Amino acid sequence: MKKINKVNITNEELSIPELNKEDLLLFDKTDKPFLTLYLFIFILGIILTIISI
Amino acid sequence: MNIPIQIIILIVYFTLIIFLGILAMKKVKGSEDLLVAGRNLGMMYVSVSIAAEYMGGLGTIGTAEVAFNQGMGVIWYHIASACGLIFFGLGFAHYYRKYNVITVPEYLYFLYDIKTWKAASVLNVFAYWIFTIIQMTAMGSLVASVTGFDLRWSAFICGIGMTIYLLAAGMWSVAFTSVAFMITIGTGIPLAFWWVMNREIPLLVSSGGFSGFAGLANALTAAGLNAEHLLSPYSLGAMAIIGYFLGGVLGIPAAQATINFSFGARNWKVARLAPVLAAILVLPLSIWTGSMGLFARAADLTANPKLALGATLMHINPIIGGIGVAGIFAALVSTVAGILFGAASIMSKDVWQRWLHPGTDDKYLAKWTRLWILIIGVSSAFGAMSLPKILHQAYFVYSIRSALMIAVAFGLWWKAAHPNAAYWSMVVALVGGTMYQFNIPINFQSFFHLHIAVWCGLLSFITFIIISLFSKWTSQTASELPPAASK
Repeated sequence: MKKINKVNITNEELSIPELNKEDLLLFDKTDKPFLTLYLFIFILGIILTIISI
Repeated sequence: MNIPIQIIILIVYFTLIIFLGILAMKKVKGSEDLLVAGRNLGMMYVSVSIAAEYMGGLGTIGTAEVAFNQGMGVIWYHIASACGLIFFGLGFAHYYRKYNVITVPEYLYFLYDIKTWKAASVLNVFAYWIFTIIQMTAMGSLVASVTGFDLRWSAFICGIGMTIYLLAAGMWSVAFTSVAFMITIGTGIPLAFWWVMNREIPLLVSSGGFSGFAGLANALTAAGLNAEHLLSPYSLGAMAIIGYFLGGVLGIPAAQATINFSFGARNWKVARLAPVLAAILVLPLSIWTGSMGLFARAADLTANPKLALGATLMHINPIIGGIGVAGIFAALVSTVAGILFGAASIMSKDVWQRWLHPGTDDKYLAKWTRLWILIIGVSSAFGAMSLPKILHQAYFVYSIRSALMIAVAFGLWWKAAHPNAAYWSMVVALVGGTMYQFNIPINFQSFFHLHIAVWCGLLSFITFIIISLFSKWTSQTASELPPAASK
C-alpha cells in the first residue's frame, strides 16, 4: 500500500501538467463564419483586380 | 436638401458600427476584458482586426496621395507592410503572447530591466499621442472632403466621437467592429477600383475608349504627364522602396497599436498565425488606392493630392462610392481605435499600475484606462485642430517604433544585449530623432539626406551595439533584472 502511494506521489511530482488541447487550437467554431468572410473578401479582391488590369 | 447617397451610406454604416459597439459593452467585466478582450480572441477576429488597423489613413488616403504625385511605385508600401506583419507573426508574436503581456514596454521589462521598461513606456506614449492626433486629422480631412464641412471642426468632432466610442466597450468593440470594417474595406475598395478601371476610364475622352491601365496611360499622356513613369512599379526609386521595407520590417514588430490584437489572442498559436493571415489581406490595397489616386489626376478631379481618393469615390457610382467612402472611414476608425487604445493601455497598465501605483486593483484599473482614453482622446481632438502635416509627422512616429523593435530583437536573439544598451538606444533615438525631425539646432536633414526612420534606426542600432559591448555585468545589474530574464 505504501509503495503504491509512493509511486503515485512520484508520478504526480514528475509529470508535466497536461495541456488542454482546446487551449492550443488554431480555429474553433466561432471562427467559421469569419473564415468564410475572409476567403470571400480575398477571392473577390483577386478576381476584381485581375479583370480590371 | 439634396444629400449625396455616399453620405447617407456613411451615416447608416456608422450607426451600425455604434450599435455593434453597444453590443460589445456587455462583454466588458474588468481591465483584461477592456484591454485585451479577456485574451479570448479567435484567429479570424485577430486577423481582421490587425488588417483593419493597418489599412488606416496612411494606407488609403496616404497611398492615393503618393500615387497622385509620384505614381504606382506606392504599391511597395503594402508589400513592405505585409512583410513586416509576417516577420512579426513568425518571429515575435508567440514570445509576446507566451509572457501574457499587454504592452510592448511590459515585455521589455521581462527582456531587460525596470529602467528600460519605463523609458519604453514614456517613448511609446509620446509617439502614439502624436499618432492619434495625425490620424484624427486624416479622419477629419476625409469627412471634410465628403461633406464640405470646415476641416478643423471635422477633425475635432471626429476625435471626440472616436473617444466616446472607445470609452463604451474597449477592445471588444474594436474586435466586433473590425469585422464590419473588413467587410466594407474588403468589398468597397476593390469594387470601386473595378468600377473606375472598367467604367470611368473609358468614359474619359482622352483614354481613347480603352479601359484598365491602357486607358489610364492614354489619359495621363493626354494630360501632359509621363504615363510610363507614373505607371511603373519603380516610379518612387530604390531609396523610397528601401525606406518602406525598413519602416515595415523594423516598425511593425514593436508597434503597440498594430500588435495589440495579438496580445488578446486565445493562445500563442493564434497570435503567431493571425498576423500572417492579416498580411494577405493588406497586400493588394495600394494597387487599388494608388490606381484611384492616379485616376483623380488623369481626370483632373482635384488639385489637392490628399483629396484624391475621396474625390474619386464621390465621382463614381454613388452606391459603390458610398461603400468605398464607408470603407475608408472604417479604416480610419479602426486605426484611431488601435492607436488610442495602445497609448491608453501603456498609460494605465505600465505607467499607472506598475510604475506609480503598484497596488491598484483590477476594477480601479479599468476606470483609469477609461480616464486615459478620455484624456488622450480629447487632447488629441484639440491637437487635430492644429492640422499637422500627416505624413511628415507619421514618419517621426515610425522612427520611434524602429528603436523599440531593435531593443526587442536584440533582447530575444543576442545574449550580450545589456539593459543599459536598451535604455540608452531608446533615449538616443528619441532625442536624436526629435533633433533631426525638427532641425534642432541645425538643419541635419540637408547634411545627411537620410529618411527619419533610417536615421533613428541607425542611431539606436549603433548605440545598442557599442554600449552592450562596453557594459559590464555587475551584481547590481543582476539585481535589477526580473527573475524570468536571467541571462
